[in-house]
Amino acid sequence: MRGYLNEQILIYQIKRGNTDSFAPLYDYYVQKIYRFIYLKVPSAHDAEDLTAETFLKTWQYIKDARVIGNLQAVIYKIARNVVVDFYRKRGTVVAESLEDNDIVVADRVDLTLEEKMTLKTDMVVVEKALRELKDTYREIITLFYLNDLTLKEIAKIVDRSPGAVRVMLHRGIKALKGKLKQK
Amino acid sequence: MNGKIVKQLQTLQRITPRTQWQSSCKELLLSQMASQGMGTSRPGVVAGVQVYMKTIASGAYRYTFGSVLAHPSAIAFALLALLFGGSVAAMGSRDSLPGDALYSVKKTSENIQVALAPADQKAELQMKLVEQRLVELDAISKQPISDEEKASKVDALVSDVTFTLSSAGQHLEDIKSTQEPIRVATVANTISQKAVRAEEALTKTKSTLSVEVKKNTAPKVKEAIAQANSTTSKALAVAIEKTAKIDSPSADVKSNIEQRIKKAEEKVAILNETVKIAIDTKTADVKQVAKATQDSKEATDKLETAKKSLEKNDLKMALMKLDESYQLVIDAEDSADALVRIDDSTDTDPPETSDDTHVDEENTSDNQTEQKTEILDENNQNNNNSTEEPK
Repeated sequence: MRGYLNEQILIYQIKRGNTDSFAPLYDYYVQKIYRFIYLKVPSAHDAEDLTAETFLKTWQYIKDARVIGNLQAVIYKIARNVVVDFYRKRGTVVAESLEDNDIVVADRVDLTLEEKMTLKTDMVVVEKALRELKDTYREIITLFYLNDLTLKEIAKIVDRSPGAVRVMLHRGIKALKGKLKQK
Repeated sequence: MNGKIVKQLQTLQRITPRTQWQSSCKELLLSQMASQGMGTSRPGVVAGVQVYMKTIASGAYRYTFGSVLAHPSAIAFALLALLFGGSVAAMGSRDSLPGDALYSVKKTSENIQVALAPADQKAELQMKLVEQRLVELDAISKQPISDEEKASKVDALVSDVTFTLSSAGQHLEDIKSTQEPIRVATVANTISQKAVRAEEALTKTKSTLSVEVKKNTAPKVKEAIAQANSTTSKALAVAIEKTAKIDSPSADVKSNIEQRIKKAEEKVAILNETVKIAIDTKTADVKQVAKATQDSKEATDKLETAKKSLEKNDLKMALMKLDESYQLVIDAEDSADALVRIDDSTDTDPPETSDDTHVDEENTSDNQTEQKTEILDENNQNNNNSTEEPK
């Protein structure tokens, strides 16, 4: 787990012009941000584009902002805004196939072919059900179960109280169960 | 019960970006930041070389660029890229098309370039990207792939063109009051010329597509052509506004308008031809023929007014009449499409799809009172709830 102090040191160095200090932040957050965005947009290619845009805007934000108390919240908020802008500009977008996670499964050298096929099927089913949820539920479930954030951390990102986040998490899981039962 | 769902959800933790993209994106971001000289302590080229050396040492490009770097011209490209503080990844992806492994690297590189470009260069940069998309569109149209795949790629590219044209127009608006009039006029003129060429390229590519692909991509292509037209018109309006501050109207702007008038006249001529064929073959509805004829006549009248205004150097009026006639021509083209369609009973425009449900930023149904009630209800109903975080 990155330390608050380490992060503040990196922020300070970036503000002073050391772009190399951005690399550790990128390395720490890139997979989580990508996953967060991926489940909000139609395709992996869109997710890649928007992830890159998120990091670029984060870098610009770090350079311009006076104080950054919670970088994690900042990055996720930027990611959310980037996705909103994406839909505003592109209008209705047709979702591509969920076969993108072929790449993910193919990388698993520890699994047998049968295990890979089962994994892929499971992932497709859950991902499809998750994508059918209301965006708020999907977002909170992603942050909590996939990205391992606490309720308090999620609350700072979505600008709600931890209690409200907990309620939405319960509702989201209930809705997800319903979707999975239908499949 | 929750345990099973949690396990299923956690399989999605395996969703990660491609390793190749992850390292390419990092390299692109860091080298672009460094080469822009925006707050770096090292010269851009040195920074670029250092990033390049680190990345080569990591072996990240062994698979991707092995064949590329085997060719002397590719090595020259790489050296040029480093010299100008560019990115090896970006150069290697230059010829990639939608669906290729490096295409996302190409797009990422472009997005970063636009984001980091000075304000007065963004609009022109966006138009270069439009040109690039049109080159890709032409290449895709010639690929020996299935109609379904082609339609999907064409749709995506054309949407990109529409979006980029709109962005270019927006960036032009942004600099209207912040840059010198002559600079704004120059940029506006360039944009209008390129937008006209974009419209022509789109129309030309549309004609090379198969019937099936054309049918499936018609709405998006139409939207892109309309956007090209709109961007042209807005850019010309800006050019006219800014050159009005100079003594004589710009020859470039005048020439631009003349070309558009000529193009509109060609469209009207084609329309008249179509109406004539429909009348001669007696295949069309009388009302539709009448409408197309009426639109054509009105468009011709407006073009005549535009030409006269241009002769008097009243560029603003010329542009206004030109825009009005263009709209009539577009409406008439729709009527003309209906005239030549004999057995097809489908509409020109497919029904509107419902709004995308992926983003719902306004969760207005939740309010504090409802949440508290819900929390109490859930706590009462679910005996397994505890005060600890549900994990």
